[in-house]
Amino acid sequence: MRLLLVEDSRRLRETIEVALKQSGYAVDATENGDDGLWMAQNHSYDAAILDIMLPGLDGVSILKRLRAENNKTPVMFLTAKDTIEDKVNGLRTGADDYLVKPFALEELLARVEALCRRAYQEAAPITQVADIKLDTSAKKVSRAGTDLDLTAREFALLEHLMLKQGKVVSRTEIEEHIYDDIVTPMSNVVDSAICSLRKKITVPNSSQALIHTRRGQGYVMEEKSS
Amino acid sequence: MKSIRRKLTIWLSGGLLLLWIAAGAGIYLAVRNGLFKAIDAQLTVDREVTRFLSKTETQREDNFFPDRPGPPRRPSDKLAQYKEIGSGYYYQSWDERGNSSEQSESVGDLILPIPRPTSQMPEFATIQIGDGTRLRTMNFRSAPGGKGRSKGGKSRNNSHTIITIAHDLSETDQTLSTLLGGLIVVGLLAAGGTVVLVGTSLKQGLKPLRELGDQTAAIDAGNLSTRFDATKTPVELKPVYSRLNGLMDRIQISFDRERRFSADLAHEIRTPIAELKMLSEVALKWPDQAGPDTFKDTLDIALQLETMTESLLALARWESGETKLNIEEVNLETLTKNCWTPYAATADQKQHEVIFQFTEPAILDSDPALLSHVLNNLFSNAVEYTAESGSITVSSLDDGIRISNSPHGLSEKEISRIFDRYWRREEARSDSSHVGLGLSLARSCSDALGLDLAASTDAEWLSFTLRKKNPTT
Repeated sequence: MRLLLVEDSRRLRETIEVALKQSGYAVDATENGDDGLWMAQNHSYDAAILDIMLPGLDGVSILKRLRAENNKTPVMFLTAKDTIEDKVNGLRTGADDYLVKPFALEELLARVEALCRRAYQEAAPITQVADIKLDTSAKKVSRAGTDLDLTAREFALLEHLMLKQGKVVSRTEIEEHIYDDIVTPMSNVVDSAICSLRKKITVPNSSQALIHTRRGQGYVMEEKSS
Repeated sequence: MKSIRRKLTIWLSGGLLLLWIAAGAGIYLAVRNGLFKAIDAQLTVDREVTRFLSKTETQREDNFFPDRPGPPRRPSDKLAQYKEIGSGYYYQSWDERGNSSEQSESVGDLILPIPRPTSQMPEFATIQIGDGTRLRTMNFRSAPGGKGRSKGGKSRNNSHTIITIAHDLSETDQTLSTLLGGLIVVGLLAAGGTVVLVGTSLKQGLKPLRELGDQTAAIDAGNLSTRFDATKTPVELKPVYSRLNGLMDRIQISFDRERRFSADLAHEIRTPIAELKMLSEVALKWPDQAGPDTFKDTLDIALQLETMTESLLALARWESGETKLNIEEVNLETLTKNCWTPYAATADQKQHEVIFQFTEPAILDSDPALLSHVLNNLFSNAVEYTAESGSITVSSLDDGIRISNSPHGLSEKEISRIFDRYWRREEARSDSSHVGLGLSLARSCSDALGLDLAASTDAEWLSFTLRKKNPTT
């Protein structure tokens, strides 16, 4: 999952970025409203976290511009503005969530998860493909009753593939949603990650291949009937 | 509880009732007095009649009313009243020893009290005799050797005779009783009508006050933009409405200022708390992510909150006026230049043109430490917010100092809020090195020193003027 974070407080921005990355998200962060709008317009994000009072364009204006362009990225406002009017105004502008500072880390992460699920129209935190179960809230994966030990990035990759089960997911999309801007065009980091993930989701009592390669297109996760 | 309506009702009703009573009493007494005067006049006429009581009919008729013009009137009718028992007309005379010498037949068995007139001039009195009958009497003494005669017809030329002529007052008393009853009935009706009229009038008269109360009750913190509608208000209340609307303007401005302050304070405090909370939670959850930068950030946040707290406390201290001042003679030019010293290097870096214009040595009675605090704030702002290659001018005034900088880029609206607590030009408040209390603090200190700190703009120049407060303002 790839997130956009627009927050002008350096300390808060950096800390949230660390927390989200540690939770398996790819995060693009900026302090400026104008940059935030440009990034949202030119990249595909699973969710965006916006402060309202920002240098340059403010958060509400960014959201208005995005919605006017039919950009449906789920957006959460993260702000110190706590009045009912502020909240109503933010939500009516098109925000999907509104979180007032100061907030608890777990609450932020839970809300971000909910936002991302909304992006894939998943109501429950547990996603299942064949005998693999992925719990986005507990950050746990199991296959045929065996818990799998995945890194945050592998978890994010598997989650993305499972959320798009049956659909081809291109390498570019994986790069965009799982990795931040450190991926170079010639990098084979996605292939390596897929290879590693395939190994990790193979357990002694269940070894059916679920991640399939579509040559020249990308990967698809599905249970193929034998 | 004090009530204007109740008070006015009592006063007006009471006052009008007293007026009604006084008017009724006046009417009663005037009628009574008139009736008594008429009786007294009748008694005076009858005094002449009684002179003939002992004469023959012919003598009486020829001499009755001798000094009146026109044909003589017959006294016989008059005298007949004094002969008839129960007619209510009485005549009786006594000698000086109190022996009854003469009395009219009408007296019968009645016993008239012996009067004690002092002269021949008639004296009038109202008496009550034994059977309870009230009489109006005229008493006088006859001239010596005159008209009185003893019962035996002998002349008493050298002695006085005491004479009483009386009229029964029964008819008059009846008339007065009827009048009094009428007056009481009319008075009661008038009193009731007065109370109703006063109550209704006051209710109608005080209706605008009730409406004002209703309008006032409908105002709360959520609708302070409401104003009192004076279009249908009586002219007497229009000044009140006008002043109330003026008060509402001031309250709204104060509330807006306080709301802005609360919102600004919330933002100023919420953000560092959020930072602190996130730093701590991330460090606890992922200890490997915490490093020296985490602790440095934590310390910076603590220092920021400390600065904010100190500034707020200082503001509260100076606004309460409880801090003691050390007043002494201060050379404003020397103090100003000393205060400028720490900012000179930054001004040089930003290539500011700095001009000091002190025409004469200005001496001010002030607290140098506090005055320095004000000047430091003003210089800090001037250096920070003047664009590169801009100008800063410090000039003396007759009663203070002016610090101007150009260009400043502030709008009139922004200047009107420049002394508000937590006001910052940048709405995003991203810069955590400023709290937004400096100028508020400078103004509070100025107030404590008896100085007026004001901001104004003229084209590209923003000026802060610090001068003695005018005692008349």
